[in-house]
Amino acid sequence: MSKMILGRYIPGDSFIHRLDPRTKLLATFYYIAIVFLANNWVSYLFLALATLAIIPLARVSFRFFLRGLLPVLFLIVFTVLIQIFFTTGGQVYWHWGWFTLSSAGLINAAYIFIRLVLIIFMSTLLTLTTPSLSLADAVESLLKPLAAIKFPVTEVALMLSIALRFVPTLMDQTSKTMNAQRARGVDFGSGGLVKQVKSIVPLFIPLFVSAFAMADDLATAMEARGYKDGYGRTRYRVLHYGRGDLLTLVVMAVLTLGLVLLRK
Amino acid sequence: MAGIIDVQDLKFTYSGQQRPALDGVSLSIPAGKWVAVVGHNGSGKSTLAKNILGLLEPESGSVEVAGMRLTADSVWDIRAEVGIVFQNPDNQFVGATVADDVAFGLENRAVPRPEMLQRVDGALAAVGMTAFKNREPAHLSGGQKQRVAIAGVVAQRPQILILDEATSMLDPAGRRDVMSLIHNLKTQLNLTVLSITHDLEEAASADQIIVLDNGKIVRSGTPETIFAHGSQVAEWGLDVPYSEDLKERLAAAGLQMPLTYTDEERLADYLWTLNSTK
Repeated sequence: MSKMILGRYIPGDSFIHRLDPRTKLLATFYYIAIVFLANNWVSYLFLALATLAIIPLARVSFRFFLRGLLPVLFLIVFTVLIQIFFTTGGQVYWHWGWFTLSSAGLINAAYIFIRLVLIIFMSTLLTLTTPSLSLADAVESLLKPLAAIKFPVTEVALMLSIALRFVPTLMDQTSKTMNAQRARGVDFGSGGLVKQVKSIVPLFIPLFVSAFAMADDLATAMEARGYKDGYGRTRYRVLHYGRGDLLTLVVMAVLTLGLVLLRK
Repeated sequence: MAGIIDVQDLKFTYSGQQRPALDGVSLSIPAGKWVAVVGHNGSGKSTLAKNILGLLEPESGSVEVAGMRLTADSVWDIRAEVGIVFQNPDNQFVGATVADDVAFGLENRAVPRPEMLQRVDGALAAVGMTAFKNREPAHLSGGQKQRVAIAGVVAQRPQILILDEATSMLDPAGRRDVMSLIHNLKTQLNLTVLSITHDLEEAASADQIIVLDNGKIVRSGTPETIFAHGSQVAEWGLDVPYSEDLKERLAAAGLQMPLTYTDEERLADYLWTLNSTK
C-alpha cells in the first residue's frame, strides 16, 4: 500500500538519476506535449526509437517500465478499441451497425497506442529515477516566481515535504490501529459493502485523533526550534543545474526538430 | 540571581481548566548543572518546560533564561539558547531525511548555507549518525531518531538542553545509549541540562532533583537526600530503586540501615561489612 503512494523510485546513480529534478519534470511535460506533433509512420518511428534510446540511460530494468503500463492498461485497451471501431475512412473491411472496421481506424488505433505507451514510458522514467522529495523541491523551485504575487511558495513546499515525510508514519499508525481493532473483533475486508464501510469507522476516528495529536506535537517542536514563517530562512537543500541538464535541453531540441521535419 | 534559568513565582492555567497546572513555581538552575524535574503525569513538569521556552504564556510570574527576561520580543533569542528534545521521536522529526531534520533549526535562524553544511556534519558526527545522513525517518529506530533530535540541538549550539521525557518511549538499551550520549555532550559542550523524567536512573545521575506535585514544588535536593525518603519517591512519580526497596525491608526487619541514598553496589558493601565490623 505504501509503495503505491510513495511512487516507485529505484535508487541509482545513472545519468538520468543525476539530472536536476526540475529538468526531468519540465522535460517530461515537454515530451508529452511534442508527442502530439507526430502524425505519420516515420515521425512515430523516430519518436519511439529516440525514447527507447533514452530509457537504457537510467540503468533500470525494462520490467519496471512495462509494469508502469499495468495501472493504465484498461484505459489503453478502451481507447484503442474505440479508435478501431468508431473511426471511419479509407478502406472498409467489416461493417455492423455502428461498428466499422476500416484502414483509417486501424492506423489511428496504432498511432494512439504508440502515443500512450511512449507517454507512460517517459513519465515512468521520471518517477523511477526521482525521489518524491526531489520532485517536491523541483515544484517549489519552479513555483518561486509566484512569490511575487504573494503566493506562499516556501510554506507550501514545507507542507509538501512534511506531508511526504509523514506518509510512512501515518501508514504505520493505520496498521497499528487496524491490529488494535482486529484484536477487539473488527473484521476488515469481508462482508457486504455496507458492512465494510462500517468497519472503517472505528479505524478512522482513532486515526484522526492521533493525526491531530501528531500535528500538535510537530507544531510545538517546530516552534521550539525557531520556526516563525517561510520568510528569512536559508535552505539546506539547493538544486544545481549541471552539464547533463544542458544536454537534455539539446536532446529535446533535436527531438522537436526531427518531429517537425518528419511530420506531414 | 545567578542561575542560567531563573523562574519566579510562575503560574499557568490551561484554558478551560479550573486548577492551575503550575501554581507559584520558583526555581533557579545554576549554569553547567544537571537538574531533574520529576512528578506524576499532570504534575506540571512538561508545562514548566513549555513555559520556559515561551511555548505557553505564563499567567503571572517571570522567567529569565541566559540573562534574558522572557517577553514576546526575546522569545526567539531565548529559543536559540535552549535546545529541547521531546518525548515522541516521530512527532518532532520535521525533515524528510536525517540531514534535513538536523538543518531545520539552522534554516529557521537563517544560518548561511556553507556554515550550515559544516554544522550539520559536525552535529551528526557528534551523535554518531553520520552514516545515516540521507536516511528517511521511517528507516530509523526510536533511539536513532532521538539521536537525530539531539544532533539538531548540537547544531544549534545552545547553552541549555531540556529533555522532556526524551527517553521514555525507548527500550532500555536505547535509553542507556541516549543517556550516555547526553552525558558526554554535556561535558563536551558545557551544557546545562534540565531533564523532565520518570526514569529513576536518569534522575539519580542529576546534580539536583526537583519534585513537582499538583503544580507546586514539594521537594528539592540532591538525589541522595531525595531517594532517602524511600518508598515515598513512588508517590512523587518515580519508581522506587531496588536498593532502596531492599533497604527499607531490612530496616523494617530490625537491621540498622544508612539514612542516605545508596546504590546497589554501596548497599552490598554496607551489607557485607555490617556484621564483621561489629
